[in-house]
Amino acid sequence: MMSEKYVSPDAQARVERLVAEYREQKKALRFLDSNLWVGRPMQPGFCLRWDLEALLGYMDRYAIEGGIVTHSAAAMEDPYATNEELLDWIADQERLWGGLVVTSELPPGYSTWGDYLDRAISRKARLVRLFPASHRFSLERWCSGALLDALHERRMLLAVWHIETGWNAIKMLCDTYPDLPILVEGRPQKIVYHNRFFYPLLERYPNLHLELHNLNVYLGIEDMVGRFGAEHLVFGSCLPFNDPNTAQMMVTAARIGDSAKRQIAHGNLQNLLDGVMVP
Amino acid sequence: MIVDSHIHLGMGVSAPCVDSSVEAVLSLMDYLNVDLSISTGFPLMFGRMDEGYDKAVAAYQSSGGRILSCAFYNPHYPQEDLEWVRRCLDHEAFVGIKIHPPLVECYGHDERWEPIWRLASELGVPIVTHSWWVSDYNPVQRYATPDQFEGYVRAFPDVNLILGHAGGRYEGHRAAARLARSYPNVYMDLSGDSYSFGLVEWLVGQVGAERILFGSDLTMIDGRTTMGRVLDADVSAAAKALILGENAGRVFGLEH
Amino acid sequence: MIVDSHMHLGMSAVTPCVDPSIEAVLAQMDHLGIDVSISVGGSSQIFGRPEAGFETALEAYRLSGGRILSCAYFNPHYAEEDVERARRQLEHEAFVGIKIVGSLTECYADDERWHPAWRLASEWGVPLVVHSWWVSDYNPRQRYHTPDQFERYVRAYPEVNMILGHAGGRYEGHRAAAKLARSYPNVYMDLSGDSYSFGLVEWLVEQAGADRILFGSDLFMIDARTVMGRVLDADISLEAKRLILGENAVRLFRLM
Repeated sequence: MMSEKYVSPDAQARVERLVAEYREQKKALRFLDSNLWVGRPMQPGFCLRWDLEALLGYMDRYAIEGGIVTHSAAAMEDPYATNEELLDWIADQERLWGGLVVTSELPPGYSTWGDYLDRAISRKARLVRLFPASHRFSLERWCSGALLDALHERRMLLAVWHIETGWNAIKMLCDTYPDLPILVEGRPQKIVYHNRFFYPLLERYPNLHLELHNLNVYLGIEDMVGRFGAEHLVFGSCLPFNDPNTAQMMVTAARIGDSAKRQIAHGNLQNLLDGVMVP
Repeated sequence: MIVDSHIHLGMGVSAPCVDSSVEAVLSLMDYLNVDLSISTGFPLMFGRMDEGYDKAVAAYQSSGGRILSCAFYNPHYPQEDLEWVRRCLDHEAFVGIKIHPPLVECYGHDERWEPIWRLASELGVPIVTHSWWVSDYNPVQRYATPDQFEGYVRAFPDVNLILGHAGGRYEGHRAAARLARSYPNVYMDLSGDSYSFGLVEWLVGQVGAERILFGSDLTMIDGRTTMGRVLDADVSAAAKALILGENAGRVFGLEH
Repeated sequence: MIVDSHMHLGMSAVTPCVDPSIEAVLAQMDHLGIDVSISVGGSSQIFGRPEAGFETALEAYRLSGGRILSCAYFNPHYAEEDVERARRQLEHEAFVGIKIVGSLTECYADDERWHPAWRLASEWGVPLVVHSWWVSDYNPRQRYHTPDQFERYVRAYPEVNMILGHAGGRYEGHRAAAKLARSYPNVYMDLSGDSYSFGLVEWLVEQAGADRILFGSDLFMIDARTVMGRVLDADISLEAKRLILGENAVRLFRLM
């Protein structure tokens, strides 16, 4: 179907140069990804392979060196059975860490959150995802205090979607659990319309981080790094739901210093991973 | 030639904007090697026609002709807006017509759009429309699903239609591709936050690279989120060159 | 024989479950005098772990001495893979039907992508259980499967018996379900879920006939007593109650 007659040789040569430069820049930044998924979702979009082997292939192809992966079924099905399956899958994968889904209810067979989390951390879990709206619980202490205290003690990463929590709850988490690293992801809605919420929060809370896969504010990356520093931004792709280049070029072509780029691409997440208390 | 075929000068209050100036747009264009951008200014979309016209012309002049514009048509003011569209397109800064059914709450197939299709045909310029799919969290999107444009696309084969956002979400992308496969005058752009993994490759496979245009959605959405996806896509360099600008050059009749 | 023709093995993060074990299901079946239960999509099958769901279904069949049966589950986005798995499942005596859900897969019930499921049901001579509901303002995804949308397939596959799960869900949906059942002899409906309208059972029996209605719960989410009590105490004949509580299911699913 391609009508290459439309393309001038000059235009094509220029694009080839831009492609080569961009791919080199991606490789140099050694992306570490906070938001990878494995296991087939109910609505897969254009991607039809969701197994672990496929994910590792995508990571190689898109220059993502490692990351935290979550099971696509965990937020819908039995989260605890699904988390176990995930931790089995990644046990021998040096490049992958586990992202768990939990609710405010203690997992069956456990009498404390500490026991559950310590065992999961020893099996390479590093992050927990909460969906308070979909799973119908409150993040307030009367409902989730025991869980959040246990996460806080272990400095485990907590990922939330803004539409699942609301920004007031995110502020409460930042206030109440100052050592808990909180990662806000713009899924399924971009957070381009939410600057007025998160700018005042980024100013106040060092433990608040924004993940990049849908952080598509025009000139936002330069503005936020300028105001709040690069520490708050963490690379995440939402692969294989989303195209990782969405977030990758925001970093490779950011008009910020090289060290800030490296922090966002991998350094910040590496520090958060290193901060998790391993039993 | 690299063309960002979908930007908006100015700002809309619902999307906070770091810097809405023409200078900031030009500076990012330079940084990303974008030669030309095509804007539908927010003042035009939100009913401040005089201001929108002046801003578009000023941007054209201060950019040395690198920032072009679309006229905007609101079917609820047919007489007034047809006159405005004519006046805009008399000026070399304007190269197309933008319509946005959800913004004016008028379905894409409504008969009230007929005058603008007729005018586009008369003036020989493309129509850029917003397109999306039914959305649970943004119900006004129902006014612009790709299938709604079929009647006009068939009735005006000489008018090129560009489906902004290529249908927006998965089922919308399918519907956009269906329409483009059926009619040679249907194009689509990649602007907005339609970031599905595999989308660029799928669209190229379905409709061919010559129907797809690079676009950002400035000053809301940063163009780097879309440019990276085109540059790194698993399609040929020739396909990338078409998408990044050669197609826009042809459809909008641009010279650089 | 009393048959719960609509339950789900497993659990979901979305709806807290006191005890998702097979033992708990069996204890409740014994307590209520239910002889056979049909899992119309275990949660693993539905939410993306199809092989784990397959194992759970087989385990339930073994543990229950053949009293807990299952449906194969088909997701149209993985058509080839799911047809192949469904064939493997239907070869096993634990599997007696096929289940599809439009909302979870975001695919309208009249979409062409459902053909493989209907063909499979035709080929294997098993019923197709579908989720059905009515347009809901607080749960917009219910729009994917209003009873009228199934007409295309019901007509195209007269040899396939289709069971409208939840009988259309709400008042207008019940009307649409009854209308479809009156028009086509291969349309059935079940009483599972929280469709608790006063007078519903009697109305459906009068509109569609007791031979088209099946008792079902919606375990692990919804307790079967909320449905069983309404059938036991309905103002319909004992013969009608026998049909609804089990004999229809025996005939349709060929249970012996």
